[in-house]
Amino acid sequence: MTKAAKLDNRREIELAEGVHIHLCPAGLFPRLLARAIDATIWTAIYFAALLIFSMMGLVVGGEGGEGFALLTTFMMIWFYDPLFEASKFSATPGKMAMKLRVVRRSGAPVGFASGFLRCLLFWIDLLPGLGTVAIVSILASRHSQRLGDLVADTLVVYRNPPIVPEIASIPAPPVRPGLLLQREEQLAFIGFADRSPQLSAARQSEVTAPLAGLEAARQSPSTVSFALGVARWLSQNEK
Amino acid sequence: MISRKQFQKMNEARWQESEQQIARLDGKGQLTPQEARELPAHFRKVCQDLGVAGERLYGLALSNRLNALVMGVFRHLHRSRKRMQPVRFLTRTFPGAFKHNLGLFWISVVLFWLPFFLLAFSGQWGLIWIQAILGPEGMQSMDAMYGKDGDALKHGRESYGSDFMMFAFYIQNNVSIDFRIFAGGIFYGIGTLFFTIFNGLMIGAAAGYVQATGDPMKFWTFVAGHSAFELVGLHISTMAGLRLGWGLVRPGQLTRMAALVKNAREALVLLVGAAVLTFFAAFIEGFWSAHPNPPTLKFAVGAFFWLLTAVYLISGRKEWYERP
Repeated sequence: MTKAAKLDNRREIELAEGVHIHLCPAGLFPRLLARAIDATIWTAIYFAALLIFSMMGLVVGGEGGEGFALLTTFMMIWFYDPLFEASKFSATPGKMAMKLRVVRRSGAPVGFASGFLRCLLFWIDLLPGLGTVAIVSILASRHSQRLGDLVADTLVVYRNPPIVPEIASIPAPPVRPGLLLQREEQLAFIGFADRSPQLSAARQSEVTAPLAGLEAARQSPSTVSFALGVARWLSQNEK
Repeated sequence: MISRKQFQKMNEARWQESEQQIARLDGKGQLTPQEARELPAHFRKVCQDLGVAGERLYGLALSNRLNALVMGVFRHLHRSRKRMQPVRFLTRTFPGAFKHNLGLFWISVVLFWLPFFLLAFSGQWGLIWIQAILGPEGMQSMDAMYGKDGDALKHGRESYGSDFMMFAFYIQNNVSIDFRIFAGGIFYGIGTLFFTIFNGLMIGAAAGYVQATGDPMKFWTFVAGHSAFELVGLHISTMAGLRLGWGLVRPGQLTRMAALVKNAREALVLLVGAAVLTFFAAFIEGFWSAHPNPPTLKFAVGAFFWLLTAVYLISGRKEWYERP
């Protein structure tokens, strides 16, 4: 795996249609926040249900209410996550709030079986307390998967990948790179030009600094204008 | 090669239409039959657009937009609308999967019954092992239920007095135990081994304790009715956990990750079947086992359920198991 591929947090998958698409798996922090939101909602629903059943118990006698409360505990522990994840949103309320979604590794939406497998493994992920296994697994795995994700073959991804606004024109004259560029390299130049409005000037020079060794770059006023120029040359003066 | 702007101008209307369709599907709306029929063709066209845009270096903005478009349509095209088929699952898939993993079943049986009998018979030569396993609280509650003057039928029901409440308790407790036994399989099966042997030891100690100090008749008449479904359910959840762990221990031709995923699917079938059996056991335990009936009737019902379970599981055939 190249260094660039290691840095890239997107996962490229090939669809049956032969086209490559990108998924952005969510990292540890948004997922912890989503879990915290879920825990709050979970507790609220749970105690509301308990309250209703204990009031019901007062009316019909204590035992029936207690039985329903136990069944609620069972349902809430094992079916809260999978029922939400099998729904149209493919996400629990916490994940919806964090704009996340659970998908299969193929990019297709998860069904109930996958959601249930993730949930079964969730209590292993919680071990030995505070979700240590899950945290280590998310940090260590290539696509931020917790143990349940690995077993169920799922990913937690951002619902909407970041939007890159279109740029009107590249503010540099076209420059020939002076050597044959690989496809990955061509994409890197074009990508840099597209993202450059969002980068500070200092960051732009930092990113392009390694280009200083090139013969053609030395003839440009700066490495930044060289990189932008190559991008413009590659996109044939369109921008 | 046509320029990016020209490419966009040519296709913009189509993309916008697709974007609107996705928005409608994401919300409450639906597609007209005409649109739904055309969706796959539209999808292939958008896929081609994405491929072309990437190949011709049309830039991130366009690629990302088309990527989102492809993902959106893909999500709705591939959304599984598969109905649950409980009858087919219980009559074919589950018994088939059971037969497919028969070897693991015998391992599960040994894992549970060996510690069970060791502890149950150790009561003949002194209570030291049983005391160590049950602990003072366990022994007290066994005395209360199955002691010489204990009352098994009232236990847990004096304060609550309700069959339904006990039924709910057994579901919450026993089905959760099944699920934990399964999940423990992720540690190369060691968690499953631990929970199964532990359960065998506990139940064996309880049986041995009652046999040595209490009124065995109360114990055996109480457990007779639900024992078949509950114990076989336990064995099958052990099978599921071992299946999960086995994928890691011996992945065969696959990578460990691929083997884990493949075995997890098969294990899930076993686990859901085990949960159904345990659910029936909870039903019987809640509504039948605690009712005062003559011991012969209770043993007869217990034997009938054992026979039923055996016939049900033996009736399965390997070929019925369809790889999910």
